[in-house]
Amino acid sequence: MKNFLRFIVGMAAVSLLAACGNTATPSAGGDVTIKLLAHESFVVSDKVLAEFKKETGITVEVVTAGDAGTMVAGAVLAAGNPTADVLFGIDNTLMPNALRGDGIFEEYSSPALADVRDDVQQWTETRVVTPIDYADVCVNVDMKWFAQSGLPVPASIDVLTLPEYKNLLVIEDPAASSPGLAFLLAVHARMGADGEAWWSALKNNGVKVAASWSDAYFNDFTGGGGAGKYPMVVSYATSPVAEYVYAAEPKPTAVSTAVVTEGCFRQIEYAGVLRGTEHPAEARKVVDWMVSKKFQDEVATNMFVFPALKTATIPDEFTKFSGVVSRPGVLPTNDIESAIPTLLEQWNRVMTS
Amino acid sequence: MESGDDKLNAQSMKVGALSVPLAFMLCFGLYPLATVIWQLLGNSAAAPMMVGARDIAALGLGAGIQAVLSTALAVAVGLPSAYVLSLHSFRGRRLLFALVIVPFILPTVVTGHALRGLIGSAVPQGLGLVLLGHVFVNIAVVVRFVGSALESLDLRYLTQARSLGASRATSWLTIGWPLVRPAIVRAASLVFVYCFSSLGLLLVLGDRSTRTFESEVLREVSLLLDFRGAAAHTFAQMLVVGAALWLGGRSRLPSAAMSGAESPTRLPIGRGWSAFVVVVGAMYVAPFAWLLEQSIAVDGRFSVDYWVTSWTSDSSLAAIAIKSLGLAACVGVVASTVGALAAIAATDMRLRKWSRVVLAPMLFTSATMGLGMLLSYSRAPLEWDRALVPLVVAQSLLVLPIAYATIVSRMDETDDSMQVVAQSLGASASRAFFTAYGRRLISGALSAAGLCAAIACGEYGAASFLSDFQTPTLSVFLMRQLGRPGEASMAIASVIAISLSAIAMLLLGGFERLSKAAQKVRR
Repeated sequence: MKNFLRFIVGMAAVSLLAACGNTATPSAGGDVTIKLLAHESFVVSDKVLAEFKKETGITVEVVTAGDAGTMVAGAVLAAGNPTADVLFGIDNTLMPNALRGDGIFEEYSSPALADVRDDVQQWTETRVVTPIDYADVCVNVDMKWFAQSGLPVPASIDVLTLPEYKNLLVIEDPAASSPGLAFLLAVHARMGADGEAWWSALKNNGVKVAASWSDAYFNDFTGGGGAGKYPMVVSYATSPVAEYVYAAEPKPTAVSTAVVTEGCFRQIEYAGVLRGTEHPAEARKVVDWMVSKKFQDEVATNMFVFPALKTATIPDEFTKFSGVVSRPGVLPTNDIESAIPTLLEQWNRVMTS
Repeated sequence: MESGDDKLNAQSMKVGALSVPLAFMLCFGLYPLATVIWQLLGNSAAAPMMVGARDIAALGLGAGIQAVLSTALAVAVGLPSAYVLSLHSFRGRRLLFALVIVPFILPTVVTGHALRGLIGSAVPQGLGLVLLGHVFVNIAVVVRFVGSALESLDLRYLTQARSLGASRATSWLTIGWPLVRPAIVRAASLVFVYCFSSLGLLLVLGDRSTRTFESEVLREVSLLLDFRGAAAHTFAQMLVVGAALWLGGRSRLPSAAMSGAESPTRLPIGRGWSAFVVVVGAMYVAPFAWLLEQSIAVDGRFSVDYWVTSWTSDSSLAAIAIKSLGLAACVGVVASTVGALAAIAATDMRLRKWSRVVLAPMLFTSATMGLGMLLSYSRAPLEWDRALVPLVVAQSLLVLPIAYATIVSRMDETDDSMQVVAQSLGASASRAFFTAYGRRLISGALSAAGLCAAIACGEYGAASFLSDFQTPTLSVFLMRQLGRPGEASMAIASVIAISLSAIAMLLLGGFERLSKAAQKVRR
């Protein structure tokens, strides 16, 4: 038994040492591995990764770190001595966080910026990020429910405070959910100073606040497959596309959700080179690759967003089923930072009054 | 009689055993925590602190009341459950014992969805529903700890007391209660800590009034960049949780003379208890039934399509399940080994308080711990290859308190006079120790390994930071599904959730069998 104990202690000590000592050795010359810090919703195909490695010799190692906000906070904490070389997935509402102090990025924006859509160029003037994709946060409606009730499908969010739409909308808490915050900004972009009164009216009209998107969509929304009671939910303009793509075979010819396209907020996602990287040249190549046609062609299918590159191919199901938002809500760049805390506080005041 | 030499030997053996968990905590617990706190407090890009002491106290009070209520209810329902599951024999006992643990293992968000799906809008979101969810999840803790204490109760003492004229109540109060009380206190302190630092359940069952320090830290870090506020809340959480754990650890050890039953004697079940079993059973089968229904009802008709495609497609569930299983087994081994070494030290009353250092991971908020791991191990000087090691270490750290508590409570049931006797008969210190504690140590470690492995399968917090991108863990795969719109998402998520539960139950059951076998081995 004494031997047994020695064995246990020995094994534990050895494994501990092995674990402590198992540190990665930085590659010296030759093939370089670039760490790409991304949020938990990031998807890229093995094929595109392999092609990039073949062309450039660069291995991209994807490192996920929670949701977008937490990932950016981690990058801020590690600014200057980063945990990765490139960051993807910071959006336009989180950009002020990345620019505080010395910022988390090195100055670099891809030459491909000229080929990026004009309506997703926000923040590119800072010369530290390159837009990769965008998605509009909008109210989604359950068409089956509306067909049965005979109520007209709202064309804009303006009418949601009318009595006929009482107790029909579920939104997400903007303090806890990213689409929830985007919707708060959509209302602000559309209504400005009248926003507070609109929220107050919406509250009196029985809006339901869920703590998370998955709770709102699956449990409260009538079109989420659960036993929900609300036929309208704050989600994405591309949600109907996802509904089609993930539907069981044979695929339906129509989807049951539609998008209210007036009163949306455009979330733009960017990539940038993290300040302090040991491989700035290769890191830049990774950013260029993310905005290249090969990567951009599969952005839509992978992440249910639209590619930032003008020439990227957009799959048929997107043109067929996605809501087309021609006038997305945009906040002036220098307004975002100060607006968010003020709006959150105002929203809290209205909803708890 | 114990000679001075032997006493010294025994103690040096225990000090040696303690050094491993202490080193583990220092290397993997304290270092990341210190790193993140240092960065939180010193970061120049942080927003100005937005909370005052009064806000923190108010939030703590609210969360504290919620946690006290949750704990009281969990113990109230958990005690009779533990009693009937541990001391009675009936058909399906093992299955129910395993089922009760599943909500504790699944990512809490998934448990939340199943509960919401079941209850619908019968109970509005808010404190009431949160309490219900917490009770549902944490009964498992009470059943595990109190059940284990009850199983070691020698029922003959009770029978004797009653034959001598004591009433049923008196015999339980004088004989049963002293034995199970420490287990109840220990379980209650753990449940309090889990409810006080709850996060995932609140995202589905709560409203804006049911906040915790955890949810506040997450908001401050990820949305507001209020790092000092996050640090303040982290410290406040450490204080409250530390106090709860300290109170939980103060409870006296049971008097060993009362225990010692090697294999529990089980009573036939009466009619009243049968009804109770049916109710508890239904309560735990219902969420499964709901998940199952989600996974096989496609557009209102029955279909196994989601099951077939999930298990056979390219990025198939099978590959992810196998990887998760391996990962979970590693976590089980590491956590139970480190936990067992701390538990060996805990048999020496002077070392016991030091051994409790392994409970420290419960003090940290998960957001700070996740960031700490990221900051410490994703860059020089301790940069790790992100294959498997960091996740195994992080999850082991998270489950270490459970491993330790499981093994310690099993060992506390031992009569340590055996050790003295063995030593007086000339056995060496370690030999004497193993004569007295060996079987319970090994059986406790195996039981802890199963529990930890099962928890690791469904653990999401650390996995969302450290999981391998190409083949995620089951929990990460599951949560990715829940982020996708469309009616199919919940169906596929349900397939994964049921698969995950089944795997966790197999791990749990397998190790439990080994544990029981280890306890029965006669040397």
